[in-house]
Amino acid sequence: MNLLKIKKSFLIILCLSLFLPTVLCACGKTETGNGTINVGIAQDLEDSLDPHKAVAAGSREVLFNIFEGLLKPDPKGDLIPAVAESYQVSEDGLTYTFKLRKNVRFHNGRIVTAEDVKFSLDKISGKLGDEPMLPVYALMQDVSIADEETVVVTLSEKDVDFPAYLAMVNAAIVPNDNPNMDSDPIGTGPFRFESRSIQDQIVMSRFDEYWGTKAYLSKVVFKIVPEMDTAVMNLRGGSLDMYAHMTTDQISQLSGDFQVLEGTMNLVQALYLNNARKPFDDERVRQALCYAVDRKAVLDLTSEGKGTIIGSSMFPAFSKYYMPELSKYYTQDIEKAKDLLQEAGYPNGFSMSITVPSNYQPHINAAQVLVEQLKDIGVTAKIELVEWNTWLSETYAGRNFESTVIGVDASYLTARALLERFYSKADNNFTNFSDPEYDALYEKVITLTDDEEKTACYKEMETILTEKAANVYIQDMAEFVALRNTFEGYQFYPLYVMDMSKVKPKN
Amino acid sequence: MRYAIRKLVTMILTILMVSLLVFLAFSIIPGDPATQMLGTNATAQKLEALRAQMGLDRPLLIRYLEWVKNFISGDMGISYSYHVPVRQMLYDKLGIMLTLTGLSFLLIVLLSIPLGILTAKYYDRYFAKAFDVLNQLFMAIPPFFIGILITYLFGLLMHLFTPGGFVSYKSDPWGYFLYMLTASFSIALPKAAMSMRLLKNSVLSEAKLDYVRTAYSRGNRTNQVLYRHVLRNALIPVVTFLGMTLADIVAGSIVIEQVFSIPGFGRLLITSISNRDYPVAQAIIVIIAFLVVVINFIVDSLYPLIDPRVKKDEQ
Amino acid sequence: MNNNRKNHKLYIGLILAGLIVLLILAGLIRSPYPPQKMEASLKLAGISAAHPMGCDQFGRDILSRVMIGARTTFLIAFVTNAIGLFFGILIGALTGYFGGFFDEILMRFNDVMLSFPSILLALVLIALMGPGTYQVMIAMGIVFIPSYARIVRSEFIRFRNMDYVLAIRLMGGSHLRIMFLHILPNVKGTILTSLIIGFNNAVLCEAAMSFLGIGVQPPDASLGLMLSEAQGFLFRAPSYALLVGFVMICMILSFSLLSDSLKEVQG
Repeated sequence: MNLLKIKKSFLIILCLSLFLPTVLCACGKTETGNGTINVGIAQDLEDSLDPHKAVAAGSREVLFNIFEGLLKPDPKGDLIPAVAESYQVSEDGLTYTFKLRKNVRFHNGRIVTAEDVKFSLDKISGKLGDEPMLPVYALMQDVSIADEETVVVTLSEKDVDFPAYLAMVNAAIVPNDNPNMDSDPIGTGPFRFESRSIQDQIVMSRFDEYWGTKAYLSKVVFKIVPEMDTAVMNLRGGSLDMYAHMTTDQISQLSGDFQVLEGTMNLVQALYLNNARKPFDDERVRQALCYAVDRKAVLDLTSEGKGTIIGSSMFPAFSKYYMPELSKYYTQDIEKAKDLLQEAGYPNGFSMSITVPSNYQPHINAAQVLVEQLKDIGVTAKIELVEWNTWLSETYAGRNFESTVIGVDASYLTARALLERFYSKADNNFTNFSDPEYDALYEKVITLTDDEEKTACYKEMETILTEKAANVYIQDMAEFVALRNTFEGYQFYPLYVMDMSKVKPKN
Repeated sequence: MRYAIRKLVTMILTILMVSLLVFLAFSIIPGDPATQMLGTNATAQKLEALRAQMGLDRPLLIRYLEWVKNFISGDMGISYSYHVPVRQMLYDKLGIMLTLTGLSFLLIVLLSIPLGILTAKYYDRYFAKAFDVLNQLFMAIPPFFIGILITYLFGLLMHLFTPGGFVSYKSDPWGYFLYMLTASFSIALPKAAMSMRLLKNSVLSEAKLDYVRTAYSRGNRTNQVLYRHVLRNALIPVVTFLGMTLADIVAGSIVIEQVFSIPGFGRLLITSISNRDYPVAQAIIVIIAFLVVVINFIVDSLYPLIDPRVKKDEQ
Repeated sequence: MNNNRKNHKLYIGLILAGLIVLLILAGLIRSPYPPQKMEASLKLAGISAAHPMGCDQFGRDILSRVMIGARTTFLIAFVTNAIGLFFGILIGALTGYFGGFFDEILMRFNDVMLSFPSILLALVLIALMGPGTYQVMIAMGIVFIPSYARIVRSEFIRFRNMDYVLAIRLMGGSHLRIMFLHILPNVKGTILTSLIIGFNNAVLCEAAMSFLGIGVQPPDASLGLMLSEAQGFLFRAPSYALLVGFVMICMILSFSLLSDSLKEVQG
């Protein structure tokens, strides 16, 4: 019958051949090798092109190429100076003095002044009437211009992670005289914004007056291809040269024209439990779930074994804080899990729902495997797929859920980004985790200045999350970037960014 | 004249009802533009502030009436996601949808009417029967699957076109046309199969009627009878079908756009619904409803032209 | 000659329908493997004696999943049309028979529904209710009501002034009696034809919804969902998509062939 279908298609060929041959010359050729690269991205920048408004990780990774803060991260995760040339911290840790780099230009050709820096920092810290872009930016109590090349920032309280916040795209330095940031984003990054066509593409070109190492590619076209399967077709067909955040399933479908680079997603994928809901308010129940899950099998089934099993809210890229031993704290032990359930008063198990946002296949896949594994201890789990927005409003902000599979990322380069959400009073503590010991540690750690002490404290917090089984931690997922063989040089970051300035055509 | 006015009033009422229903629907769906804009940075205070700033905290009816007022004056509001006027956004996309719909419709007509007549005329020949089988098959395959097969076969195996190689008509009109044509085939094939079958059956059953026999007995030749008498009557159900199909094509394009990575109405509609970008979703749905209503109106007015027996007041 | 052809259609239709029914029934009694059972080593395994249709991306037996998938798809098509038909007959009969103001209001509302393209209406309804098998049934059922209502209404308009109806009314037959005992049986031929078209549309519509991600949700299975999942493995396991597509085509073909031959027998 398959053959039959192909035979019938011969008749279609007859009809189509009248029209199609000319397509070859019209759109069969894409401008590769010309210093232009077509990069597929899963979603358009639907929040904003303005770095001070972009909240989606997918938007920030694109804007990373156009914007820079006073500092920026490098591929190793260290902070390097960008718009600022250097900075000094006062003894009490409250005053940061930034020396600006000379002759840094905006994409419109104007030189960055201290006024622009003050304007940008005032804007994100909520001094120009808006809410602060992120709560941490509200730390900046005062931004003042010492001289044309020096800006002094005074904090309301001490926070040694402050430079890391400034390295985020959200703290980008923008001109103080551009009223159209939403449609005409101007920054200081290695690429300048060229044009956009909604739900179609975003075009950037090399900024030739960039202060640092200039980009190799003259043009980057981000094409929006929301369907992963379509993306695979388009890669094979030649309309895309690169696609990031792919899974093993998609990678295995590519042809030899592509190099596949393996990196890590840098997020904490877990079955997050609503610790305030019955039966998850019982530590033993949560532990039982941890014992019921075979993480290795999850990886084998969903990603052919790729990925790193984790045991707490920390991923390996944060090597300073990461504790590999926690990933072995719970290993599958059905008997122990059943005993724990018995103790907690659920000898016959219970039913639960797993809420999963419908737009992200890897989480749906993991949830499907979990449902199967939980059956073994008598727990009947049901997957409830919700739209991303429903997830945001009901599950995340509303905390109205039993459990959910999601990946939590770090928006800045410190352990706090991952661990503060389990402080019982934190706004974003969507799992309602509450533990007095953890709270005490958190309150202590934010006042510490000594890096070693801080790290030790963070590690203690991680251990508590594991021991109390706050959530069923699964993995930091492997991610793959497919890059056409005519290009090279792509580098991963420990953050969710896609740095196109290092990609170059291969000769 | 009275008929036309009456029709016009019902059309306007229909569109108003559609927009009201959509408005109500969006107010029931969980989540709103504010949750979308703040993402995981949302806190209760921030949400409230943003809602107030965007005017989302005002009563539904007031917001609706305001929307109607603005829409009539040509102002469709500003997209929450893209911060540009919706009208400007939809301008390009409307072109894409009209091209896709138009081309698909044209293909359906061009493929089905000649083939329908031909297979009816030579209904007992071998090729007519082959088409019968083919027809059945095409009607049974989901359009998106046809799209995938076309991509696979003509794009990846035969390299006749570049999958995902959509170009804007501004930069390359000919390339745009050809790409859209390829996509149109996946929408058109199943519909063309249905329309062709309908026409063939209709011609064949018409041919059995008395008046045809009378025409032959008067000495008319086959072709004359076929084109002058039979076809005219046989086309009536086909016109009805094509009218209904036009609305279906609009919907079918939503799916096909996904397969062929065409940034048209469909993709924008789906993302605007999931982003709660109401002004955009609202405008798209109302425009589509408007098109459907107008198409139905045109089809209704066509009947009396083809078939004098149908009087307008009968509807 | 003509007779022969008719029989061909009937036989092929019957065989295909028989196959599908067999598949569904077998799945009800016992599928070769538990349809949700995952096995990492069998990920996208090809066709073998143990797995006649191969395995999917979780190493689940495709045949077992096709069995429950075909059932889900069939059930969706059935319930969808039942909802559409029930309310369609109710609305169509009342409005067509009585006419007047009531008719005007309901038909305008009907027009509103019809002016939403079906997928669009389903999209909005699913956004309202959330995705899931039952939600798909309800959403598609609602989508199907207006077209049934329209068909039934026009038939009732045709019959309400016929001599025999007027005669029964003169004899004192109640309106309800006339509508459902005297007119409805005459309309059943038209309804049957549209039911079969409706059934096939429902199968295709379910597939389109699954493709857009608003249909049946994993780990449940339906033919549409499996087809759109299989599409992601077209290069690695083309048999997955082709086999599921084949079953879906068989299901639709069996219905249209049967209806064709029925019509020809009647006509």
